Amino acid sequence: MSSRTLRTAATARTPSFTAGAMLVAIVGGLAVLGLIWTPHDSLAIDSAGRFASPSGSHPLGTDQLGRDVLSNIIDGARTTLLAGILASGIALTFGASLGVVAAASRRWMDDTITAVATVFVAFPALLLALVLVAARGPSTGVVVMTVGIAAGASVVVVTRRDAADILRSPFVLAARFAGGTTPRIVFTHVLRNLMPSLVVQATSAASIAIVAESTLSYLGLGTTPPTPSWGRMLASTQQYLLVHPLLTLWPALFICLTVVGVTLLGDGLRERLDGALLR
Amino acid sequence: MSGVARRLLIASGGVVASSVLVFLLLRVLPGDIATTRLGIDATPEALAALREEYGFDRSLPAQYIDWLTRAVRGDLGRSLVTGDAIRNDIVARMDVTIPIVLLSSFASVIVSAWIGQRAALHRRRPSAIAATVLSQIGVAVPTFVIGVVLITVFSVQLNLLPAGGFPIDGWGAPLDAMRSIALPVVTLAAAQTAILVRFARSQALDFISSDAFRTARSVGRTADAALATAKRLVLSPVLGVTALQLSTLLTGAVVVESVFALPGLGSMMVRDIANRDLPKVQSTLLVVVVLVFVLRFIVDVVNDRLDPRRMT
Repeated sequence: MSSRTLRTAATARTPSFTAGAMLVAIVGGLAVLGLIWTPHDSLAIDSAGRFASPSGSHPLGTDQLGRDVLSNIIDGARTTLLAGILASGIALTFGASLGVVAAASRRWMDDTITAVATVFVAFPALLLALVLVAARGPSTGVVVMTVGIAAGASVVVVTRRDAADILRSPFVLAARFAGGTTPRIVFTHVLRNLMPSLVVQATSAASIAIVAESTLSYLGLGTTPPTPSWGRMLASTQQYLLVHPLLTLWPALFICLTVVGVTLLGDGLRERLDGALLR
Repeated sequence: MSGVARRLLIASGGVVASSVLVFLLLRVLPGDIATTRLGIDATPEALAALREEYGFDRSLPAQYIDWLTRAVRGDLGRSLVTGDAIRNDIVARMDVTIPIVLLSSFASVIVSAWIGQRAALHRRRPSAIAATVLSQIGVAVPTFVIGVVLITVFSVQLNLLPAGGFPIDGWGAPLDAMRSIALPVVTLAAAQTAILVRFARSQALDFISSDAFRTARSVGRTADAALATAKRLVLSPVLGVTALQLSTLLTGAVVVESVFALPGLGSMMVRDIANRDLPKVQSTLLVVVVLVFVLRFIVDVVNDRLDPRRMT
């Protein structure tokens, strides 16, 4: 890709990219903000101030234990984003390396890696996470690891296909004639050209992980107290839905904003990169 | 008929492979189940007794074969927590889970094929664009959030349907039972429809740009009538994706039953996982896996009839 096509790609009109990037930036901003400041201590219980309506001191009100809702939303952003980032990191690291190894190695090795990955692709990440929580007990770590592995399996399949295409292309052949060894070709040519596809897959792994973390926390099988989690906030306030629907809808809204944001970002990136490749 | 036989072979292979995976994950990863159950200060005698009672003291292949042969004969073992026969618990909860899964997959196939066709035919209309965008967003939104939003609208605001629970008489009170599973079915169907619509739409778009469609239009058929002849073409890939998505659908049932406090297989499994009742989770998962493959087998066979080209 020349610098000119990259620039055309960057200025291409992709509303989903813009919307996705904005939503992710908002949630990312909240997560960073939570590191340095929240309006109140998100765990501070105030039995006199339960179910307070939104006010100057509690912009989103307080929950059934008198905890500040906004502070919990801000602190929950960190859990959500961290789960997404770590899981996509795991998925990319082992998915991309196994995929490239499969594409670059001999037939039997390639077949073995592909076969194992295909079996894992058939298992939904959430189901696998449920089984692993049953085996190891609930924790954010188990969820992140499982989703990382499950999402990594599909990264293996896609990367293997893309890397095999790149390894067959004329410029790789030219590099071989020039005396390039396989490891050198993989590091200088294959990985570089895989980047666009890997970025898109990272966003998909992240959104799977965010959904899995919030769903399992909602079921009481994910992030454990006292770590704030939007899924658990939602579960613990659902019984007050008749009287205080906003308490449940705030975490629901933020979960949606995050997942939709990450998904749109991925779709937008794909559109941009496809556009860049077509030009 | 060789097509059906081949599907049957694939399904049974899938059941065996998944049962091995479930067994390994739940027997090897947790470490010593007896200690998990009785705590670290249990007496060695009590630990040994529990291990012998549940057969944890034998080799893994022996345990697996014993578990599977008993399961085939209908004995799914006993719960580690209550000591009750797991089979009775599972059978009692099937009549909540099965209707939810069947109704929602049926609804999602019909609705998504219809929306997909409409969206393809009138792809420049605002409603078609809205449907496409909505399905794009719907794929991203977690199932439990859809459920909570539906409760807020239909139970809290409009007071039309119950927010959760199931009549004590079960299907003995058919009207109440239907009302209790209405929102769960819609929740699951909505999540599923969002996934299926894009396949239906792209398939319908392919047909609209085909020679067959152009010919039908040129001899005076309306676009609707021409598309009606291609129902199978649109339905077939939707069914194909549904078959592949069945395990996701059952995971969705786990979530939906918890959201709506329904006494089904999924909500039971969530509780058993929280209680670390591993033999029960293991046997429930086996039943779920069998269910997935049986349903997938049926959908695939129906689909082969619908589109005979799939058989080759």
